[in-house]
Amino acid sequence: MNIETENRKLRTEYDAELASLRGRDDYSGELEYFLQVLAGGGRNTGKPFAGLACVQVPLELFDAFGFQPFRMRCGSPAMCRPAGDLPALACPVIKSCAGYFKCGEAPEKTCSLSVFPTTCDWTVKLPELLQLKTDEVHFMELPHLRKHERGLKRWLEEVYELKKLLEEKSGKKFSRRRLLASISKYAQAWGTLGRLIEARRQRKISGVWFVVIANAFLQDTVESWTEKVAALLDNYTRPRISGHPGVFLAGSPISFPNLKIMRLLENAGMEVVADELCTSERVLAGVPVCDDFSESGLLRALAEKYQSACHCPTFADNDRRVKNVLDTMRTHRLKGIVYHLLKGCHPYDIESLQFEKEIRKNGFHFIKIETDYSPEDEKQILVRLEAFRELL
Amino acid sequence: MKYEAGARKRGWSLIFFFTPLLLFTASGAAGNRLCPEVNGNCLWISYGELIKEPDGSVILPLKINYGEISGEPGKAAELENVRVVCTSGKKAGKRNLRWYELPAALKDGTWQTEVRSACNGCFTVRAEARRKIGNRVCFYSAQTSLVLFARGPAGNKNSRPEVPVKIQCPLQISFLPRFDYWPQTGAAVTVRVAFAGRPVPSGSVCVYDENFPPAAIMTGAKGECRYVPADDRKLNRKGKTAFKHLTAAAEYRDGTDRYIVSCTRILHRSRFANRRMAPGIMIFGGCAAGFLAVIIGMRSRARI
Amino acid sequence: MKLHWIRFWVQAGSFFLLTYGGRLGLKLGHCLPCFSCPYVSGCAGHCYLMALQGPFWGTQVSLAALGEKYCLSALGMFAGFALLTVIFSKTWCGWICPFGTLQDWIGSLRRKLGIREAEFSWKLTDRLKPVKYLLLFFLLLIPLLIGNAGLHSDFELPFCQLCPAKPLMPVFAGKFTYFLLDLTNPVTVVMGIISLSLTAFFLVGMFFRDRFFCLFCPLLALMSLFDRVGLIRFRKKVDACLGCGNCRRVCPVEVREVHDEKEKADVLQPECISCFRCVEACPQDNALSVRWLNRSLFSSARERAGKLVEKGKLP
Repeated sequence: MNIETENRKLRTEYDAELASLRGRDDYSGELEYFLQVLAGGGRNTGKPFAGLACVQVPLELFDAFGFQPFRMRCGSPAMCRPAGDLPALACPVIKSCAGYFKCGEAPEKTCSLSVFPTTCDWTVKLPELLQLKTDEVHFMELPHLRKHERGLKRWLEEVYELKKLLEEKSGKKFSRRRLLASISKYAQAWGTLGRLIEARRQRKISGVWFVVIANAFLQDTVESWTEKVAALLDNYTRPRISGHPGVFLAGSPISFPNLKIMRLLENAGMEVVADELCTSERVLAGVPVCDDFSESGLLRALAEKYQSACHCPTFADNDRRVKNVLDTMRTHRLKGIVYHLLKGCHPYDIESLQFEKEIRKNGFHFIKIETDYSPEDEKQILVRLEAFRELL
Repeated sequence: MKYEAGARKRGWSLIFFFTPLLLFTASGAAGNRLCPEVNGNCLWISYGELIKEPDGSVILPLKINYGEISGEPGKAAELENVRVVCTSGKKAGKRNLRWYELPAALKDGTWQTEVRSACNGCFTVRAEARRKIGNRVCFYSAQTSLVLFARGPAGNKNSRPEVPVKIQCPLQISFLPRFDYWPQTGAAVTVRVAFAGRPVPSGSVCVYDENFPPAAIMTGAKGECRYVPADDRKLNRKGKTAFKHLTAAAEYRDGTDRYIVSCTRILHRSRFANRRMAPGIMIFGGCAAGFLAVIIGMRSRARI
Repeated sequence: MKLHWIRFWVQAGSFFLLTYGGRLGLKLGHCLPCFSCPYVSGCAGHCYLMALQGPFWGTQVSLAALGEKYCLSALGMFAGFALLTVIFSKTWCGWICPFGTLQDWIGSLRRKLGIREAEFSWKLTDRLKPVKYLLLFFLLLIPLLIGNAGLHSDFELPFCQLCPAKPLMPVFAGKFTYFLLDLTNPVTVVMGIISLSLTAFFLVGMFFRDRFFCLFCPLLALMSLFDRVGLIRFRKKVDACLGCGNCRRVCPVEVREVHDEKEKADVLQPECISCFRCVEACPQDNALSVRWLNRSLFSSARERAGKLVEKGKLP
């Protein structure tokens, strides 16, 4: 494998996607920042990087110790090929992530620290697949049951261990003031995200751009992202609001530059008005309202929020996920749901069975699209989506 | 002991004694009361148990006891002209008061009466009797002032036509303050003695408490002396509303006639005299410190 | 609307009104469903628990003497209490009770010092729940025994004698009377020792734990009888619940059911003191709402929850 060649392929892929996005009729100057952030792949903010997988890791803690939390990239189809010796059934997220690690320019390689919560099997085994050194990797054992007190307690212990690690790595002592300041920053981001979500519900911003903006979160400092999103909300006007029927998008994460499903949905004549993707609308789920401002209270607020508010199917007690989806669909009068499933993404696959039953029982339309990062099945998917659109 | 003071011309001697009487129930009889200065029988009032009527009014039974205060009860049938009168209001004892007669009956060898009230009020009850022994007359008088609390129908049930007061005995003894809604041990009382309206100074007083050794006090220039009922552990062990009697008596001899008067009030246990700040603060502070130490100890062991 | 600010001022106002209002002639009666302690001279109204244990409107009466007039006055007082409870429900606890307010102020002091709150396991909290009902039972039984079985009358007003509010609240009127130990007889000594120990226990406890006394409050137990008919309703839109656990975490009395409930809409719990912190902390629009006479008084809102956290300052 020639790393230089792979890098070039990656850059070509990125350039093509960025050009495509810039060429859209709803593109505007306020969106450029997000494209540049995604193109840059983690801006140099002067702070050491901490690479994160999944959404259960408390971001505020990193920020409080002066780290820049960085979401490990996993959306490039081009990076699936150089992934190397991986099981054939590995999900494309893992393959792509592995590919990025092997790529010469990846900021993933320069992370001071990589943190992996034990969510799905692929995430648990990823450091081994990447042959990362033990001292560069920190696992957080995520209890998959939240209804018992012991599950919450164990996760809190993991957060305490993370705090100790960050104290060691940063050389700084824990400070309540700094953590509270970080919590405040992320709360502002969450508030701004809420406004962005509302704008999408009202069709003031398209589904594609929403995913792009959400993906840009954690590729730069949270303050910059918040500021730019706020500026976008104040200044951006969508030139033409489509009259397409709105759909709910559920399922496996969608990461830049792989916006295949988003484009196909648009082409099929549907607008994604709501989603529950961990790389999109649920990139920040819930806000840790603090009641107890001691060290223990603040860490407990963070731990509970990140564990309890998460609707990842890795959890054994995840029945609120489908209820929340149904509530959103009823509130915004959506008639159908598109379940995006990546091949090899077992938790989402398993949960899709009951999920589909519940959705259909409540009188909504449901379609499951199982795919990977390759463009070979685009035509087939488009035909199915167009047929689905007729039902709405 | 008899003390003959400045009123030698009158040939009288004045002796007081206090005899608190401990009662387990409100209907109690006299205990062993040594009364060396009052020879013979005396008339004194004791309280029964308060009865609360369904309509909110209250009835207080009173016993008019007669006999040797030293212990031998007298024969109530010896008494003549037994009469019980009552007045209501805080001005009792002053002139131009409305007195009315309370019905009294002889039951089980003791004269008994009762005071009824349908509203809150202060009452002074006076029992009078006399006894002829040959050509001598002995005049007896017993008095008590009490406060009743009631929430009954309007109007005082005891209203009777005014009866002119004829005080048979010019010797008067009374507790001051006259009305105390909650008399208690440890609270000083003043005993005032007057003869025909004039205070009697320098009188010898014998104080007797069933639970304490007898003591002697003297009236001052104004005919008053001060007495502080001692804290009574036996009374303390009973409830807040339990009471005992405090009786003061005096005797006067005028030629062949004798005047023996008494005044009674009830005493509750002291509400405040037995409260101590130091042990209270020590217990509170000690417990608080203890609990704090335990909590801090537990928290220092557990990380979470 | 900053609910916690409104609540702070309502609590402060109620505290001063109930503690000192009597001096201004305010008389709110003897059936208040909150700890407006009668031992505070100059207080504006009396806690109903004293009436419930007493000889005029409570159980300290001989059964034989239960006349028509007594029954009527006792039932009348209970009816007054019931009416006040039904109209305002547990907001008496969370917004008006002076003793509750004192606990909140002591809790704020702990927060300012950055000391962590004591954590009780779910098992311990569940085990403590029946204690208040047990206290209510003894509070009614002991006066009955005084009136009918000859129990020493110094056991009268048993709960009031042991209640930590009795020594603590008169301090605000300048009286330290009930920190004195009454040495009159063995009963008063024992009751005094227990009272002072419990006061110390609860004072230390309420510093380390929000609303510590409310976990044991028999008045809350009595008021929970009226939960179903109270006019204040507490509604949850179960499908909108994120499950984030904010409501469970900020609850001062450890109610978990508001978070756990996935089926029913009515989530008012017997232990709830209606402080509405859960509604304020909920990050989902309209997931939790407080209703009075079927009108929504206050609902959860994403923006409000975010603003609570955006301040970023230590209290």
